[in-house]
Amino acid sequence: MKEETIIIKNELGLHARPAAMLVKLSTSFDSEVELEVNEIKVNAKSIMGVLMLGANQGTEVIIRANGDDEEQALKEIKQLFEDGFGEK
Amino acid sequence: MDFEILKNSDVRYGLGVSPGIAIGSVFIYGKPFFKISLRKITDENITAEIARFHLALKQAKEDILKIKGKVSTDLGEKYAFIFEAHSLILEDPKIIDNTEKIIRENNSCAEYAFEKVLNGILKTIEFLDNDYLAERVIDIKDVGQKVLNYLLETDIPNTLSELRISALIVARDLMPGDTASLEKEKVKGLVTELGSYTSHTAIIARAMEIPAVVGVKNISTSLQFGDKIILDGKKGLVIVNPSDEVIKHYENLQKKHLEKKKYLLSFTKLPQKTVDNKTIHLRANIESVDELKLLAEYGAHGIGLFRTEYLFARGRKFPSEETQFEVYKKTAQLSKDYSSIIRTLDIGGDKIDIIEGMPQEKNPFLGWRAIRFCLTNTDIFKTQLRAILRASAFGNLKIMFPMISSIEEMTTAKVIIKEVMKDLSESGIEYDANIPIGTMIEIPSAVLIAESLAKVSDFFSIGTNDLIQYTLAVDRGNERVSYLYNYLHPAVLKLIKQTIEVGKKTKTPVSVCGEMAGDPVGALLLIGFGVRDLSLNPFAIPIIKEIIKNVNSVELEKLIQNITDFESTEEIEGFVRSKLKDYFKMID
Repeated sequence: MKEETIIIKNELGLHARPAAMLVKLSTSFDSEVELEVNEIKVNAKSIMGVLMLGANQGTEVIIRANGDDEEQALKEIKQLFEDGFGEK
Repeated sequence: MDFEILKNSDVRYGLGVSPGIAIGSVFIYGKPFFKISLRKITDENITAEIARFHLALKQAKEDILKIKGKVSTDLGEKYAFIFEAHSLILEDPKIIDNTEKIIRENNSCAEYAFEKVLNGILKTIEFLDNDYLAERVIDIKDVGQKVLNYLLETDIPNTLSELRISALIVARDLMPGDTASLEKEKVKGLVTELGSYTSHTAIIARAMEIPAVVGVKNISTSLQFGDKIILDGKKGLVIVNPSDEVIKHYENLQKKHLEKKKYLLSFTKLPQKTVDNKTIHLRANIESVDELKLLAEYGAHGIGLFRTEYLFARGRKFPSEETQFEVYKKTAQLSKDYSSIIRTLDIGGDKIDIIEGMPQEKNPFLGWRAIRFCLTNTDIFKTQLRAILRASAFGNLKIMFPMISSIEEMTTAKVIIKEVMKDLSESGIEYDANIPIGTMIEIPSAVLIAESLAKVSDFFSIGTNDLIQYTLAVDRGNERVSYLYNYLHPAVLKLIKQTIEVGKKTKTPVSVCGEMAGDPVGALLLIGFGVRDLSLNPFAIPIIKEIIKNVNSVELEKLIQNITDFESTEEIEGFVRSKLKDYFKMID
């Protein structure tokens, strides 16, 4: 299992559009992907779970991936956060 | 000329209830009207039930992707992303796993299990108290409904109640709770299968100046999301997927309509006086604080009818005293030069049925509504009265009770007001101790006992909509009988006249609110009967001003003094057509 901690950069936080992007990307990997915010853990492949985190800009998020493609998954998901989900 | 150009078009006919032309894509709006109950399945059918659930998810997903594609091409990628999120809800492992679990463990049918999971999520969201998520509830419900439709094999339209794009709303029917949440910028026009000229959809459409056509058969089931239509709110036409030539023709008509509206608005500044220098107060009927701005815009002398139930519809629960106080206070502050009548909660009937705990009644119009509801729910009633009384310290407010049918209702309501006043005095809160308290005359029994009611009323206001409905026993929302609904019926005119005469005799001021006062012919008749105080849709004020300007009240009174001697509606209509047409030809 691999994990990384990132800070949400984009202005809207994990709103519907970024959440949808994140879920789609996570789902493309075989690994289990988990997000943790304030000790609340959710499945990154569940749009409901991601939305319910209600994570805003500046929130610290731990990303965990576990599986054969965990390295690639973590790298790409981290990149998505870094790019601010393509906002602006 | 219209018929020539439309000869190859798919034209649907209805009743035009709010003028104007709208052109655009449709949005099909609806509400579920079924309840899901637990249907037990046998152990050996569990796998099949789970498969049925997955099939429904797949079908719903295909629908969503279709809409996504269409929105994306029509409006751009930007508007389509929400459908991406919608389709992901259908793939959500949490939702799928939990539903399957309930099916397996409880031998539950798929629809029951799915709804249970959905409701669980909705409850959690409520608990999270996150505004953004609260808004997403609508998306989740909408997507859930699509799946349920497949599982239940129904074709009930979507539950989306929040528009993100400007569209023409098509629905089987719109409840006052639905229309209350409409935003003008997002609604180009309204088309419904049910309704009549005086149903609430029509009233709201006219108030918001949104073109509307009602009574168009099967329109909500025969159109697809994204279909383009043209709506002519005057002629009552809906043209489905029109040709470019037809669109061009209607774009011209639309331009002309807007020019005419501008012309009418130029009458706004006219004084409210007749040729013989009698002042006719034209006041506004409003239902929300947002409409207060219309008073100055359309030159209204205060408010003749503030329908407070729409405040109650907006929040879907009873608003607090403070929330109400703020609204009434703003109203009072705008009512320095003129007064404003606040009508207490008129819940029930066709009005508001969305408040939890309201029973479904067989005959809501004859049921537990308005003052009847308030006199049994004294907490709700007192909260409203407290808010109004507190606001009365800031301007000239009046209180009016709806649906009064007996003297006891009026006296009981007044006892309650006195109690609230006493509480306020004891707490040292300021209010207008002489606030006028009036009776809404809208039930024939109230007309017949008007002399008695006058003893306990500071004023009367005739609510013509309900008075017509109760006198003629016509449900104005039922399109099969709505043709009977007509203020020119001699019985209706007699009741109105009688009320006005009692008012003169007992020195009780009489005003008229209701659609009749905003109708050129209706307004003329009322002025001719001696009414000097009309309350109407603010948008109608300029037209009525233009009419009043040319009226000689003495001549008009003489002209129509025997109108109630006619024996039929038809004769009265004939009389009106021949004798009154000169008064309003310039606005036609």
